[in-house]
Amino acid sequence: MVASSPADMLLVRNLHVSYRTAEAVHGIDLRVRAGEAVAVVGSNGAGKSSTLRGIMGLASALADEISFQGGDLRRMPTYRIARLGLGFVPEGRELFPGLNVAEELLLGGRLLRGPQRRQKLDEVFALFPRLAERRKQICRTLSGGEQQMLALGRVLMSSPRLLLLDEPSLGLSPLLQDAVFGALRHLRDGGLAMLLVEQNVHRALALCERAYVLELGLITRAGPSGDVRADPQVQKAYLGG
Amino acid sequence: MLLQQLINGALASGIYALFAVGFTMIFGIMGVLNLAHADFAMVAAFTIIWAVSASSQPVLAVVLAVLMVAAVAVVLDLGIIRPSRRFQGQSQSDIELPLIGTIGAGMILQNIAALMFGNKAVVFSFQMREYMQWGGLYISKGLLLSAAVAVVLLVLLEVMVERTSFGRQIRAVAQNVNAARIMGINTNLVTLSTIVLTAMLAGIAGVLAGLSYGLVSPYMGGTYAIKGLVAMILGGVGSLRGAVLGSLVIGLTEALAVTYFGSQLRDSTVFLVLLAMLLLRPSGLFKSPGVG
Repeated sequence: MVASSPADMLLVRNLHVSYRTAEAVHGIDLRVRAGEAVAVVGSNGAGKSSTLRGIMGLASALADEISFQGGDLRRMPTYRIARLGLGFVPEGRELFPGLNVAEELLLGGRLLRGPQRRQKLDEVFALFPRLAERRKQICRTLSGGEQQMLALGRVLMSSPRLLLLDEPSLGLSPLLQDAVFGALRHLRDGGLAMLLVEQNVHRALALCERAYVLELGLITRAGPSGDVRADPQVQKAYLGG
Repeated sequence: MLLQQLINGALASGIYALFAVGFTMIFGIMGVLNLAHADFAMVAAFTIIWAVSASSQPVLAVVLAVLMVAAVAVVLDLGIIRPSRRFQGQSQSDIELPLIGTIGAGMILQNIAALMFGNKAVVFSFQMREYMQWGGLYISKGLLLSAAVAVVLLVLLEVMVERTSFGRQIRAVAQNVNAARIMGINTNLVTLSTIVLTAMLAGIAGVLAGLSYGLVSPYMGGTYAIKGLVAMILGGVGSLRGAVLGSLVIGLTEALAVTYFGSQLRDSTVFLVLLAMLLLRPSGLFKSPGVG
């Protein structure tokens, strides 16, 4: 069990996530400290996405604690969790198919004042110049990589304090994965905390300082990314070692 | 004669459009066919009749009508639509439960009005039944005003939906409700606001119908519900422009039917057009993801 510390941004204790009768996550603990990048790795069906969905209130979750900067997130509606500063980029991007790029970004920044919103928009366009070129393009017509950039850019528009990223590399070519992970590195270096769920273990461990290994809904290993990478079982199961 | 009927039909379509955009927005945003929607016309009209008879203050009557429509819309959403939508995804009652709930709500509203004002049509408090002559044509001043008000309101609605932050939130909720939640949008508030907003439009349409035709009845919503629904399907569910165009098609079809087949076949002709549209282009005139 993890004990809370003042440096904790996100603290999760004994989290269970279930879908009707089936439980996908069986009581896990995890924490993300301010400015820290943390990975949750594991195979398909391990409960990685369910963990994020449970934290965001999108799946039925029971826990001894789910807190963000000291505030209790349990039983809080998803929209209020998002407004606290948890920027969730879901698997499959979940864009609004009929909105154009600019509209989607403005929706993300709608709670900012005019000048701040414009500044944020400039920052997102500087991070993803491709989005600036396609600002009037309808989202459903964007390529997979552009959609991923937009899903990330849309969340950044809301000035999140913690990013929750669900499989950002999924379905992208290696070149586009480079672009997305390059942007994530830039954000991490700028001090933005993130909890990254990712099947691409190589990339996840390279980006994050710490990692949790999730298997069949339970955390089986946790520690600095270097230690997790050096673990023979992790090598064998996820890194082709 | 034909031109006269076409003008009448085009002007009448303004009132239909105010109902149709409400049906299409609520269905687009929630997937709910709100069959109590057109009864807001009756709620507004009878609130005005009651308030005018009690106070003789037209402005107060309008304010009361606005408040009454908003209050009934809030009760409809919180008391019937929202609880019935909680069961979505759990059984085959996904669509049926809110549908039956809103049918019941409409009946309750009609029965309350019938209890208070009687079963028959009553004379509306304000009338605009004069005609103006223009180049040999007779144009109803009430319908002309209705069409003008409808055009202004529909343009404002289009601008609101397309250009404002609230409009983007409506479209977002209509297109992907989970994504809207993770973007920090209070989706319940957006749907409630949409129901209240569209109820206001239906209420205004009811008052315009009372002005133009002189009579209102507890059951007036039924006629407009059918026209609004047909217009929504003709235009393409979720499309505001489609709903307006669908309303115009209904108005003009009615005019042509009256001219060539007689008034008895007016409604049947509209349904034949609907049937033809469903066979030839089931998605309607416009395709829209959600609302827009």
